[in-house]
Amino acid sequence: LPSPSPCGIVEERHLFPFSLGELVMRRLLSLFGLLLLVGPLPAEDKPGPHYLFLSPRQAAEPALRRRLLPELVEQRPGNAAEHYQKAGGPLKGASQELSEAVYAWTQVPLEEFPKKEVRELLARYEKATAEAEAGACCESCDWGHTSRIRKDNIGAGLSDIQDLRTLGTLFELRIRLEVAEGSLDQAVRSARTLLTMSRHATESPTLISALIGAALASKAAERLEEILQLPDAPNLYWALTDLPRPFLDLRKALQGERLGAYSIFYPDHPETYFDLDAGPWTKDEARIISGRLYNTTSDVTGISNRYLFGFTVMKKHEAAKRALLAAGRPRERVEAMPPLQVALLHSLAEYDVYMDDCLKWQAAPYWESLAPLQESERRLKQSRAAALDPRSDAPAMPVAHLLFPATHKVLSVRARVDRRLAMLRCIEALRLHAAAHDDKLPATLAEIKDVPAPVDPVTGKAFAYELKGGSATLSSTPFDGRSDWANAPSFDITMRTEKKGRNR
Amino acid sequence: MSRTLFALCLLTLCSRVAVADGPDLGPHRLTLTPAKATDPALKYRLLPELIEQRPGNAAEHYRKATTLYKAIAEGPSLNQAYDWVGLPVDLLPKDEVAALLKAYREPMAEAEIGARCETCEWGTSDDLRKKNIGALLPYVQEMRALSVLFQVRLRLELAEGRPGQAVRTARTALAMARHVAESPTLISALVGYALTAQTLRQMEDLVQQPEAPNLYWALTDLPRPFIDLRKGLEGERLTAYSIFYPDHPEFLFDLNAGPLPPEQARELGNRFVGVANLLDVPRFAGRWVFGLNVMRKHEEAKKALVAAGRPRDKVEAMPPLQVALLHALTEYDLEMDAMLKWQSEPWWETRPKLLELERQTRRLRPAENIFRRDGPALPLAGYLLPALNKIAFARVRTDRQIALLRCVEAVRLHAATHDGKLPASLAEIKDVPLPLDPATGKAFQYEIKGATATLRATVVEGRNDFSHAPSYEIMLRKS
Repeated sequence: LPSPSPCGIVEERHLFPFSLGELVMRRLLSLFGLLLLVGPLPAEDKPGPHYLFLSPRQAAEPALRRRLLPELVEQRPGNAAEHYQKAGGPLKGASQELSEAVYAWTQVPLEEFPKKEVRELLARYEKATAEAEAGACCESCDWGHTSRIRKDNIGAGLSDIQDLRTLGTLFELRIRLEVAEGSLDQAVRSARTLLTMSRHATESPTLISALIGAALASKAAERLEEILQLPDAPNLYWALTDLPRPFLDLRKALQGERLGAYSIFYPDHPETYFDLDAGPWTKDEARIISGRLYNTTSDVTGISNRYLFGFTVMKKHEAAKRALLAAGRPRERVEAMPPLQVALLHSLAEYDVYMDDCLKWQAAPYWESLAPLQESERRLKQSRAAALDPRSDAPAMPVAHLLFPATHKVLSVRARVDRRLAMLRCIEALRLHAAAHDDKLPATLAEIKDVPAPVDPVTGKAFAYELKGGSATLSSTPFDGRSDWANAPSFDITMRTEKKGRNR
Repeated sequence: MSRTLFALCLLTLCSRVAVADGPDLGPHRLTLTPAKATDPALKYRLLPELIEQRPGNAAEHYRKATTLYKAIAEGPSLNQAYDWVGLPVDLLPKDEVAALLKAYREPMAEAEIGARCETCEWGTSDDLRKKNIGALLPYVQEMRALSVLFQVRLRLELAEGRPGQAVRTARTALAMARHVAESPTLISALVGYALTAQTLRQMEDLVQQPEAPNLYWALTDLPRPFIDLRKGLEGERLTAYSIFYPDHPEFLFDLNAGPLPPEQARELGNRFVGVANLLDVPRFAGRWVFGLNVMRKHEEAKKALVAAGRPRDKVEAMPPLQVALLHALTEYDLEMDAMLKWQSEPWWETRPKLLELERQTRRLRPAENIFRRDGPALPLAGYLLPALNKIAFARVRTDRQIALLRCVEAVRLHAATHDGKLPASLAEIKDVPLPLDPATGKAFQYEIKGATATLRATVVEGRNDFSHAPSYEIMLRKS
């Protein structure tokens, strides 16, 4: 650590090379970019249903012969993240090559799919995809990101996880190639790798990683939709049923947000702030943390004068102490703390209130959690004016306003993934029903008796289904203010008539 | 067989964990103080949050904790701790308990570090690959002993009126329960359920403390299911395959695998006969009988493998023993998948299917199946498949107990904002969502008579004791 100096605040800036505002902006841009990716892609944004032509098909035997996540017997001890990180080497420069032209290949109709070019492209990145496959068969996945976040907080570099997006595109192309070449088992296996990578992404404790996971899962669902339409496609009803629900666990990612926020102010040992029995800072701690606090405040409040900042802290000191005592901190410890520490703990206490208001809903069904989450975010927005008013009792540093994640958006993305997988399961239930009922679609979803038809994870109710003539529509209701296809998928389903070969 | 017996014993233990002497018929009487939700909502947590955790492998700390407690030769016996766990809080001999906890301070501190580790890797899957059903799981019993110490500490903290500390101890105990179940065996999952049940039993006393914080959101935040069976169930198949092909059981899972080299095929024969004897398959003692049976069924077995999707040329190139084994495993997979495919579905949908499957599996065991023309030469499925219905019920029982406690806390929360009064019905509680019974998918039964409310779970599995159909009689203190 640099030696203490009277101007410590300014000199500490080299310990914290970016201002907090810059970091937050960088992360927000990344987050919104990903939200867009997970959301409707240009080609998907077309209104109306996806048209599916399906063949009736009974369930395979054994039921889980084709799985969409590798079973333990197929896994090997090891850390998947190391394989994905190794895959990053051969991928250098790939994102350039895999840009628009290749992206178009994931969208063209199968009959126009450029098999030769794709085969050549995949051959160039064979090492990377082989590493990814080895990673997907590992028993654990530890990115080591928590240590990085503790040290570098929200500025921690997570470029390794970004490589998963490039790998995802390669696997998308591979699935399409395998489908175009009629290698169905291989295509299902590649979809499994893609889905495993998606879940491995959420082992990293950041919302950005969770969104990458959701983007990969959406890609896999899109490709599965294509696989199911092939005349010889196996029925994947039980493979889809066997997937975890929710498919992506956001617990770690959401908890990682708090870890990142606390680590800004106390790198390596952020848990210190979590401890209600913690005592006053040491002199060194006071010096370093005050620099970080000053940066935070000037970014958000526009108070560029540190004396003015000090004045605000002192003005709110008594209110801040009262808030800490009410939170359960012992009076003698609070009294012994320097005003800056009190101000910071007061700010983090407010952050915790809003954060917990969101976290407490993450295990609840989506339809229960949406309204309270939106309400909580609305309250936070409304309190911004008070937070910036030096005369109010609000904390001197509006940490909550600066660092609070758009939790409900992220939970919506997760619900969207689950909804898409549940709809695929419904489609497979229809194929299964038709195989046992003279290739006919059921009149209602309730008519399907062989297997349970899944409910919509967004609403907790059955999907809308209507049979008209020879085709059926399967649709879902718009939610979270968006009615595009990605949020409210719908399908127009026609069943082919066939009499044999249903059991494979 | 020994593992199956052990698992059955554990199931029995799980169901009788609340009281050692005789069945607990309930209802449990709870006297509660109205309490609003805490602010922040997750001020008290029942699992450590990431920020409290540190990088590292919890299993290593638990092992160290075990070594430390085994080294404590002198001092109070741990047997006393088992007695104290069931004692009413006001009858707890506080000084003696404090002395015991002091003696075990070091192992407990180590276990606490373990409970706050980011990962828990027991290395069991590697053991299963190498030693299959012979793999030892010593930590299973050791974690039970460690957990009892935390149950006792929790009771002491309640007796001393320190509910905040008691929540922290409950958090450690619940994290330990989930960590045990990280090992991919059903035994570990069952121990995880047993440890969870013990902690939840302590929490009934915790929520009755006059100063107890409302744990509604802490309980809501817990994962559902609290302990996932996926790993344990998948470990069963890993074990079954590893019996015949140690270290690389995935070879047998691979539909494109070719023939075994002659020396491995011979080794396979020895394992085959060894397993038949180990499982006590009737009329299967002699190698000659076994060999004849394998050859008699060879053509049928080959057909079954080709039908399962194995390339004909590879099947034809396999020695008869390999074909017979893969045939046996195909039947095992068929039955195993028929069970596994239900594991993500709600219990009320799963139960009838699993009961039917268990009946079918039992039919695969009799001796005459060995000579069934279309059956495999070694009917593994009938002997190696787990009793999934019982295990799935252990899972749902844990989730049901958590959901019921959540309901209890919702009642306290309602009373705090309604003049200290009990709600007339559960539907009257509007402040927070009420959990449904994970065993039925319906609301719990709730009835109010005078100043007492009864909260009850439906009787399932034909047993009405507390562990199968928990119920509470709730009274409120005047605040």
